Amino acid sequence: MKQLLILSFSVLSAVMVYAQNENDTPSGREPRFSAGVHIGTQGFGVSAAYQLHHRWMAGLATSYAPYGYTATRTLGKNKYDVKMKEQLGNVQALIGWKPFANARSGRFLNTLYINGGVAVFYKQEASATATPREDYQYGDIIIKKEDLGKVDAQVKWKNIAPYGGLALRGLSLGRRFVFNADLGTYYLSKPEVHMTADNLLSENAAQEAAVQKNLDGYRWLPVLQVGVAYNF
Amino acid sequence: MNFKTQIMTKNRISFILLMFLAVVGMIVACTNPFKDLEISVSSNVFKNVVNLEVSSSAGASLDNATIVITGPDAEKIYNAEGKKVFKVTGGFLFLAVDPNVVVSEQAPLNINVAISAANHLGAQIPVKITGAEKIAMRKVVLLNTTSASSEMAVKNTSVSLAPNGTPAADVTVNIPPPAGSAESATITIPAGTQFRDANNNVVSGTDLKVSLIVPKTGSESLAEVFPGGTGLTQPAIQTANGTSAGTLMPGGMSEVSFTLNGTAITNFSKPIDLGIILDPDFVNPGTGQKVKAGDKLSIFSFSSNNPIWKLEQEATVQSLGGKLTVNFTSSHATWFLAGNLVESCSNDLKIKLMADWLKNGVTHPVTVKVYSSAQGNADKLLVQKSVTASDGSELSFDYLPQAPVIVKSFDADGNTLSETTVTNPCNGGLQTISLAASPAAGNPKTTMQLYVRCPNQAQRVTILPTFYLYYKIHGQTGYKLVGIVTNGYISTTLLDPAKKYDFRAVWGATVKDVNDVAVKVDNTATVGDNAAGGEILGTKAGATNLELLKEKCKEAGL
Repeated sequence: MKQLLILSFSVLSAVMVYAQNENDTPSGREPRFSAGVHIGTQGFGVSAAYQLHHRWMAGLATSYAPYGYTATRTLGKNKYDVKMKEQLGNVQALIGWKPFANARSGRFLNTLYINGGVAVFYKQEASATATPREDYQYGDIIIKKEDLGKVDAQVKWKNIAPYGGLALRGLSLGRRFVFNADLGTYYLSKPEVHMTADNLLSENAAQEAAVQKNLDGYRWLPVLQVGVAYNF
Repeated sequence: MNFKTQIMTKNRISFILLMFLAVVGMIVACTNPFKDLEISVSSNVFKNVVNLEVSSSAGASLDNATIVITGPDAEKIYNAEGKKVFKVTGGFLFLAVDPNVVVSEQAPLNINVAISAANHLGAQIPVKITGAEKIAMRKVVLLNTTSASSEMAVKNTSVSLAPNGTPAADVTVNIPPPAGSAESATITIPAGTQFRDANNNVVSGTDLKVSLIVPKTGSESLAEVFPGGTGLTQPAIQTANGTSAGTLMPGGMSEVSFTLNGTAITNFSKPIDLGIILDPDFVNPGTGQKVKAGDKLSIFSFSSNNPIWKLEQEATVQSLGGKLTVNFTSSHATWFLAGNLVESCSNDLKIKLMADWLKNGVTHPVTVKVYSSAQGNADKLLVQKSVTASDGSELSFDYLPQAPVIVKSFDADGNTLSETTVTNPCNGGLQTISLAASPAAGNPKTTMQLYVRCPNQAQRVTILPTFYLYYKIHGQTGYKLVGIVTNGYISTTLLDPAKKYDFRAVWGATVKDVNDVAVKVDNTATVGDNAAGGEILGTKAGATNLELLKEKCKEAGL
């Protein structure tokens, strides 16, 4: 992980140096540094960006998302309350390239960036706990739902994930405030599923392979977020 | 904007749209994480189970026996399907404790299981469930009243009564001893005796049927048929000092029963004379020596109407014609025992079985028998238990006598695996017993894994009921226990890959046979309807099995 981080920041530094050496650097009057806050599918967080060149931008952001909700699902013969929790926390380093740098491209396209980068997830856990919603009848016997047990599934990914996407940067809101928007995705490692269960549901832990198979494709973590920044 | 710039702009817009669509596509292409996820409640809902293996002394099936569960905790007992219908199926009676009830040694459950069947003496079996053994196994043998054996003499005879329903003269009925035994019994009914039913009403008629049974009290099989259902150790024996647990040491026994014109007789207007000829090898616990003339023995009785052994009277041993006899009178028909009572321990004897050859998940059906000790040798079999043993298995025996006992362990073929003298079975300590390697378990370790796939389901069922698996060599008779199959898995060294076997699986009221099967070291099978894919439905009644599978899958919502 350390090597990947060092590599990422090395690439970032090289691009910054390259960009600053190009002839068409932004004029000294234009603000080059911005900082702001954002909110979106990967939670809320803060970000900072540095305009290296009129086509290149470097950014650093951190986000945290504590999601959780409970839904009732029928899994097999019985209904279960499935309590899902997800905790995502990352630090993201980005390089943005502006494909429409020409002033004639229009105000909207002129703020569009193609972003690439890498994120280090310091928190990346998803879990689901299924508990029976109703008492269970076995013959003439009623077994209380509290005594039936629960099924837990924990999903983990590796901490490093590359990122790619589109961004609108610097849509003016007046004064030095600007509006930013991002649409992209992380490419995660293959998720690892671990299931546990207890009491009369204990044997359902054997369904780990089925859940693992269902989640094997969960490698794209989409990002849609908006934010406000201040240009210094 | 020149043409080249326009083309570049269009290309960049196309690329961006493509990226956008790719991101959206990735999001919607994800599989539902709950796809094919079926959470099932285990069918093994019971935490405490008693499985009674019910058989007849004549070897006949007792699947038509009538079962009645009584006692203070009877309402907490269910069958394997959670119902209140009790039936012997495939020779087994499955009794399960309501899983909502917490059972412990401090709060045990006590029930009484009454089993009755045509031509058999009914059995009343007190069952104490302490939770020490999650799946307790007990063997119950009902005495067939029409069929003698080498272990038991049976005599059924008719006596014609006078028109007033009484014998015109004294009637003597004698039962000769079983083969190889000196034990026998004689009854004499005085002239003029009236016969009464359970409500103490005089029964009229002339066709008196007299039935006598004399078991060999020195035989090991006595413990299985001993009235009370707990072997010679009894949880309650009534004496002049009250009721307490104890061990009955019989020197002679006889069961006496009558019917008059089809009505069961329980007592008489006059006492009848009984004589029991004793086992001359009986060691009198009162003297520590073989029984002899002049010894005082106690006479106990046991009636199925009130299933508890009671002290009736004392009797002096007499020598008549070279045979040791006790003579006494009684005004009721029942089981009679001449012998002695030994008080019981207040603590259980806890036993831990250790065996290097039962490690790594291998199990073996082990029978543990507790004998009385006479001059340092194993004497009477007091009680026995069977366990599917692995290294470290524990079991306990309650109500053992306050006297040295000898504990022996046997494998599936009856080979002795251990013999341990326990000088004080009352001290409450844990007795560790090392089991010698069983000669019947010298085969390679055989693993059996059963899977089940419901029709129209891609995934196999992950939850299977715990069931008992029995085996016999194909073509032979008499199943033996392989062990308890948990979640479809069992590992054993009992089976020889060079032989073919018949298997019987018993789960509650469901019994399935699979015959003529050769085992391999690794035996994995999936029950399902895809025969082309190698799935099985059993070798007998495949269509019925498929319907059963569909029904059970439907019940499980699969």
